[in-house]
Amino acid sequence: MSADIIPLYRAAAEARVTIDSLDLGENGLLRLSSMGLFPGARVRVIDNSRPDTSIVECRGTRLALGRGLAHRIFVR
Amino acid sequence: MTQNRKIHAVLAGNPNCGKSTLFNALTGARQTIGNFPGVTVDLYEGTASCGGATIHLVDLPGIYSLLTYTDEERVAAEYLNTHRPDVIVNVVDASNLERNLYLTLMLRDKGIPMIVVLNMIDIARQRGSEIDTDALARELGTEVITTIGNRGIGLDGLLERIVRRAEQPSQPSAADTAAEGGQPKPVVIHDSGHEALPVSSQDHAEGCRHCGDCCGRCSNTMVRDLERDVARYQQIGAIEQRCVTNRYSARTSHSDRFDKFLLHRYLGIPIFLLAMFVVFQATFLLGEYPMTWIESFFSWLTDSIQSSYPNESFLKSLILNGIIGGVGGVLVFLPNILILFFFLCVLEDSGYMARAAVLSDRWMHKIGLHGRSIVPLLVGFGCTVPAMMSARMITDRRERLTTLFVLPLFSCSARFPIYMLVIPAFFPQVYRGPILWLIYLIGIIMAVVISKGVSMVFKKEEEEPFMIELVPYHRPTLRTVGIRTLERGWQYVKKAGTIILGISIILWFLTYFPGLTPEQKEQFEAQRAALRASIPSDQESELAEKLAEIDSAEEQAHLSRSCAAALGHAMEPVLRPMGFDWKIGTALIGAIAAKEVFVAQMGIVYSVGDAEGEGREALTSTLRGTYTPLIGFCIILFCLIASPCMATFVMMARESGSWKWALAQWGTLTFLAWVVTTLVYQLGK
Repeated sequence: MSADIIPLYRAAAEARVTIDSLDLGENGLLRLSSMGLFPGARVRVIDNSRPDTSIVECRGTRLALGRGLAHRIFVR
Repeated sequence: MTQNRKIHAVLAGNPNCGKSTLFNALTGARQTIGNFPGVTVDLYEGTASCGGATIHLVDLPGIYSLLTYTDEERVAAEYLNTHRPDVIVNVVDASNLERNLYLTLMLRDKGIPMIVVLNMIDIARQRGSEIDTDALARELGTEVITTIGNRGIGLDGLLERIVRRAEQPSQPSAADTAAEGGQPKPVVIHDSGHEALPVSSQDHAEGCRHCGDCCGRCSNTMVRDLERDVARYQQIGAIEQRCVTNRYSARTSHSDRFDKFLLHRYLGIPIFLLAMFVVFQATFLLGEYPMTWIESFFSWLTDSIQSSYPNESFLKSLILNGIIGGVGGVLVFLPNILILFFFLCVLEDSGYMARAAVLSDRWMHKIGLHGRSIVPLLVGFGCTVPAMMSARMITDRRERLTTLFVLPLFSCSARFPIYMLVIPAFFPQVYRGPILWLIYLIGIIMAVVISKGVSMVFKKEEEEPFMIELVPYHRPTLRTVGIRTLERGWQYVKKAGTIILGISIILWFLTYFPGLTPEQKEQFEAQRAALRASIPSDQESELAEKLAEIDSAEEQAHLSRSCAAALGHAMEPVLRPMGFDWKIGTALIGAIAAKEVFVAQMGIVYSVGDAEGEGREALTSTLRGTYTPLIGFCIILFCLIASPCMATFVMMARESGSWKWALAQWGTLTFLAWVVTTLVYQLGK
């Protein structure tokens, strides 16, 4: 609970994090939630070294998230 | 009981769950593509028979949910609602159960009899997860079977089960009843209220969190949808706990190792460009052989007609120049198109295309496009028309319009015949591949420049989240790739057979009429008669040669008195700066309608389609003798950039929602082509 809340793109590779909140419009939120990305979801960071994309694993699915998105997903 | 029964079944599932492979295996070649009215998502339909029953099988587009967020989802949802199939066959990627079951739960809520097919069960086992199918069947209240689609394992019983399931009256399952009419239980969420969903820092959502009933501005439905999603995933978690053992094995799969290179920060893009280069080279080299065979067939056909009906007539000219010249000239390039599509399909099926989108997102972003634009742009290498259709998956209007605008610059397969005619005519073998590559590259660079410009015209709306699934790499099956390649080829042929044929005939008409006056014809006849009288009959070869010269002169004279020539001449002041003459101009008029007509038209303009029977050879050598390599390059450059074909023009108007856009695109690109080609010609001269 006391863990820092950071944007997803700043999480370290191989870190297992939990989504805290999402700063997105309605469409974006619903789209992500249909993929299981909503507050409380566990996410494994695969690769954050690219400047433009975060690659994460959530619910057994490998996802590439654009930089805009990785800035708006907050994790702890 | 099953005698002559007609069963309507649909295949539904996530993208990349192996649905198409399954569909192809079940229906074989008995497929048709139907377009859903209003949108341009393809619906594949096929039939299979089993025990006297005919199963009409529809392959819905791959979707993650029925939320109607994308066109694919809307088509699938609407199809299920309006057609109410007898059975839903839900194909589930067994190696990725959690995400796939989300759709399963949504589909189950439709209340249509369902069979869950756990596909790719072998991969799931490799990853160390065992699925208790009986327990899963109980949990879901549906039949569950396992298959390995790409090896055809487990498919035998599927058709029978579809028939059997269709005959059973739909009965609410234990799970359905427990979940209150098929809806997942939202108990947990209601307990904790909105607090469980600190969904957004946007103020309307803040409002939601604090007021008891909703603020009204934010959508109550949105919160409800989100709650439902959370509940579904909780339900899936519970199902998995009961049915799957060893469900998490941290995997550094071979996909990760590939991605280390293919998605590399610096190597990724060069690898992508190299892959494209190899594809185009291979297309060129492998396509050479079947092209020769088709050419020989058409020259044999022309020769046969020529020798059977030696008298010149209107009808003969129409058949030889208009029909055979038009269709034959287009069909000759079918091998190249098939090879190109084959490679593109392989790249798509292997999972590499998703990586290409990721790689390109950064660059696409820079030029005002979306990473997802790469897919339409790559389809654009095949044909701009389906590419424009596939641009619909870019939900942001500004990005979609920009993508649509630059799409014609991604050299489509219809321009390929032009390159294949012009490049070998002017450049030696070693330069052909590189020149082809260069012309594609020029198109891409132009697209970048234009989209930058177009994106500045529009104001940026809310940014579209870029999210793409990176499916594990896998070897594409020959069957799936083969069927899709043939189908693309068939689409090309259909286009060649209808629109192109029509245009070819119109253009032939333009070149044939009004033609020579009777007096002029008589003059040529008199020359022939004089020749026959002057040369003794034993010197046949000399006679034939001289006669051919007269024929050729007559054709030239005929053409110079045609409508096309008049148009070509009228355009000459504009064409001159680019190094073009009126003959090229006449062929370019054809290219306005459809790019590939350029080749047929050049054949007619130079009247090489008939006499020698080796039309293409003759045309190539005529071009070589008439123009310089610089002009050759200018021809392909102009054809690359200028005037998208009629079909593209119509499609642009449809997809952008306005004829103004279509006109603006046509005008801008044509003007730009003129400027660039003129520059190249004047500088190169």
